[in-house]
Amino acid sequence: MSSLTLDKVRKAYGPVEVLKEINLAIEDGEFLVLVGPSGCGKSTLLNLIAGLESSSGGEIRIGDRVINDVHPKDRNIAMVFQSYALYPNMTVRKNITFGLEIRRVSAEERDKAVASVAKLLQIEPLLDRKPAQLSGGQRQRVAMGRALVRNPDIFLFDEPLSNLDAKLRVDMRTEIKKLHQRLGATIVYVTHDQIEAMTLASRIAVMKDGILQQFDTPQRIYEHPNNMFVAGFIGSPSMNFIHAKLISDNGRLAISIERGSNPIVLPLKDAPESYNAYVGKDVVFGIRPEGLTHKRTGSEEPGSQYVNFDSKVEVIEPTGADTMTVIEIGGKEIVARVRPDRAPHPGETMTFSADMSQISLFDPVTELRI
Amino acid sequence: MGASSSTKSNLTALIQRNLSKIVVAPSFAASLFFVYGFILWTAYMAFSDSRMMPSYGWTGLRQYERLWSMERWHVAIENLLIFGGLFITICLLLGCLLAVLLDQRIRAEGALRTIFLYPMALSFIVTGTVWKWILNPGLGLENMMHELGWASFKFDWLINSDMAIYTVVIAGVWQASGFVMAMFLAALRGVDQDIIRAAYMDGASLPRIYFGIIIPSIRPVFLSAIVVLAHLAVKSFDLVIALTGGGPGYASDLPATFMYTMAFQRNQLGIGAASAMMMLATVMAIIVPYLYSELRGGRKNG
Amino acid sequence: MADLQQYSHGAGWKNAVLRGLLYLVLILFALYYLFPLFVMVSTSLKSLTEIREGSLISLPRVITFDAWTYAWNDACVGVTCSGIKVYFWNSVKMAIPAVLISTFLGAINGYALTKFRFKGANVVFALLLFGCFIPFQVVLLPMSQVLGKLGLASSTPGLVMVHVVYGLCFTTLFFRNYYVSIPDELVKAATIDGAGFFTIFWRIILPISTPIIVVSVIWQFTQIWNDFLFGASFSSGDNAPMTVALNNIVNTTTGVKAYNVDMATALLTGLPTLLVYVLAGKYFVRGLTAGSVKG
Ligand SMILES: Nc1ncnc2c1ncn2[C@@H]1O[C@H](COP(=O)(O)OP(=O)(O)O)[C@@H](O)[C@H]1O
Ligand SMILES: [Mg+2]
Repeated sequence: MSSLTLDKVRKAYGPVEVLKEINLAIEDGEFLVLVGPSGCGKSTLLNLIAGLESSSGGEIRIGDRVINDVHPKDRNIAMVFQSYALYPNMTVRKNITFGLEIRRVSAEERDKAVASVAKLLQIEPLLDRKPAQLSGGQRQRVAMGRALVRNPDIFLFDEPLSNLDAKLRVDMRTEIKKLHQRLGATIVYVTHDQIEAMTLASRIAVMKDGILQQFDTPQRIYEHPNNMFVAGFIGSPSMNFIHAKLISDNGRLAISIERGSNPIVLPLKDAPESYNAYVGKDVVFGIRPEGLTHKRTGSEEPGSQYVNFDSKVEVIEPTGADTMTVIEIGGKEIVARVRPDRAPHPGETMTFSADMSQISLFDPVTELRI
Repeated sequence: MGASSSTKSNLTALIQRNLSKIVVAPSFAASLFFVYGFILWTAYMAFSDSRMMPSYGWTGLRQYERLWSMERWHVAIENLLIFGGLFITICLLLGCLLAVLLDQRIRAEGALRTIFLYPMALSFIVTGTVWKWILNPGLGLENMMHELGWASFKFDWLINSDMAIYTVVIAGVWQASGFVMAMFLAALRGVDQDIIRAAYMDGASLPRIYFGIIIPSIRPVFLSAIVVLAHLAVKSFDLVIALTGGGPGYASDLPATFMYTMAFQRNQLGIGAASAMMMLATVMAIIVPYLYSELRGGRKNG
Repeated sequence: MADLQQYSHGAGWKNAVLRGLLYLVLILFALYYLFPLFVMVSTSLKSLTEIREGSLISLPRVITFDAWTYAWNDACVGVTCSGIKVYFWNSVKMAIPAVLISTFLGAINGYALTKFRFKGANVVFALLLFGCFIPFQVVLLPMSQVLGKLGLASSTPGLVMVHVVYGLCFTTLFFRNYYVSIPDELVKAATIDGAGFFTIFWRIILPISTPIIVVSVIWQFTQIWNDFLFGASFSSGDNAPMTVALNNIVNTTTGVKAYNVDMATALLTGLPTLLVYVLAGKYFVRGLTAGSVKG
């Protein structure tokens, strides 16, 4: 069994707490992505799992085995680094088999293992080259080969794609996903790129300043972010945040956004219980750009999830598939996602539909989801 | 049995975990003993009544008093100021000039650089020996000028008490200026080209670009060079020995040769130790602030 | 490079004159630096009579290697007249072990201090580094006592020990600065692969250290070969290294002053380091500037 459990794991460098009580648990075969801005402690957490750093508290378990004091080489893990960390003095073949050699695997078996990994990753022609003679993408593959050949319980990836150019990054992303599906291995994958996190993960752990913000499936994190940080970090373009008031409009809860003498009032669809405590108070209204679009058919029917309002268009940014339309509401610039054939001109006033089934409300002080 | 094998494996684990410390320990211990221990030892000797043999009767500042009352020590200090001042200044000017000249896309740059720097590979004893021959009052430069038809040319600095120390400057500059050139050249090459281009676009002339932009931007290298040269000057020993032997008399003594003479030839260990401590203090006064700023700056960058 | 030539368009002849002047100045400087070498070589190839009659810059009329063979085989150092060759080998026997040991220790120290950092590693390094800057006069007296106690006074092993101890700080500095620029991830990867402290050092770190090993070896070799202070203080008679012997020969007051022999001896003394410099100048400069120029 290669499930992984982190129980109240902490890490401090002297007085600086880099990780604060991280609790995570994944099942065998899961693909966990640790995501967060640079410096939030992702690599540190990965190093703790690998055993390259010792934790300042808490417990790390692989399966049922507590591994806090187990040497990295005995944890049966493999790691792929951002800089690949290929041994410059060794050929690709040597790089891949070094770990086996240290573990006294016979030459015969090593050859077999290299051959199968090289085939899997399509690096057979590169086996006798030195790392300096490889392109970035090739090095990346070799680094993966070095991890794969050991057949570990858990793979650890530390931003393995961030040194590749954009096109290659997308290709390799797909390949890692395929590899995971094929091997069914347990993977912990660190990235600062939320798209990578969304596309790869079976579950995502969002971190900030050493604190775990949310740990859930990609879809849950996207639709029900725990707080404004997670909401803003996941999704591109980011979720729009608008300062608003929660009001009771003829017994129905609604969002009221100030706009001179003519506020925008957006009635909520199915308001959960938790909203009641905020009636009459300030809230932050969060809506993703795709929840804000051109006028939808059926939006005028009673009970529709769509609510229409008019707004002047400031700027448009076509991206091909959609046109990002910037409007100003409540003193803030808001992005709406509009189909290109419905795209307005700057300066026009247009009717937008807000999809009230996909909104989030946050407490303006604690920034937590209401 | 189980217990003993587990203590054994505990021990191995302990060693494994501390290998790094264990590996550094011998060097560190050597440094503690041979550097710090010896400094304290010398410091103690300077407070003792040691003469021919080390002896550890405490005499307080007596040796320092004797040291500072010696005419010869004052000569050595004065010489250090003359030699150090001239050596550093000339090396800096010459090194900087050569670096700027070499920076002008010179065709045979590699060869010239090699020529300017090779003296640095030689022992000061070799340098001293050859300059002693060149400056030989009878057969050297003076004779050469006479042969060339300059009959009144006179050059007897080697045997002239007032001038002997300047011959050390001549040889020292010859040896070390190429090194300064190499430091400056490396720094010049590191200056951001875009800044220079921008200055040129603004219409600055070549000398202005050098004096206004490039040289100020390599100011840290000046500091490094001064520190290295000052350090060399204080430690200068071989050059004086080979060139003048500290003479005539003790006219070209430096603290380094003074210390050696007292300690190994005059059986004045106490005075030797006291003068060594003075040298240490001088070097520390230069090096410690420099290292401090370097290391602090390094931490900021890294 | 302050690539300013590209800017100096127009005024073609003025430019040409300036560049001519530039080359002239540089050549004059080159002559200045080469002059002592020329004097050494030409004097060493002259006979004594020719030296007395001729001038410094005159080329030898008759080239003779007598001074060289005499210097190598017969020159007198103190009372023994068996030439400089004994002392040449003394220097070799001193320099080779001292260079190898101090370089090896520097390498492993630098590795431990950067790749297996322990609490206080920076303090240890700073304390070691300090040793590079002390004037050695301050350790001469205790060292001669300690060497005497160890029975190493006036012996080559004693000098080897002295040079290792005081060369350590430089070699550690070189290797430490080199290893900080090697990514830690390399060591992490090897650790996960199961390699331990020494395996990583031998199999991964040392094979990629060639440039800095060359720098360290060259630096230590020139320092040790050229040393005079330790040689003069801790050796005597037949155990002296070459620099001490050279100084003895040059400063002998008995007999006729044989300038050609002096110059031949000086050249022989300088030759090994000059050779190293010519063959590996790039690394020599790197050693010189390490620690004094950042980056
Ligand atoms: N050895 C260390 N000593 C002190 N602080 C460290 C050390 N390593 C990392 N940190 C700090 O820990 C924080 C997290 O670093 P890291 O895990 O590398 O972040 P990430 O991988 O998310 O970018 C950073 O603020 C970093 O400065
Ligand atoms: Mg990281």
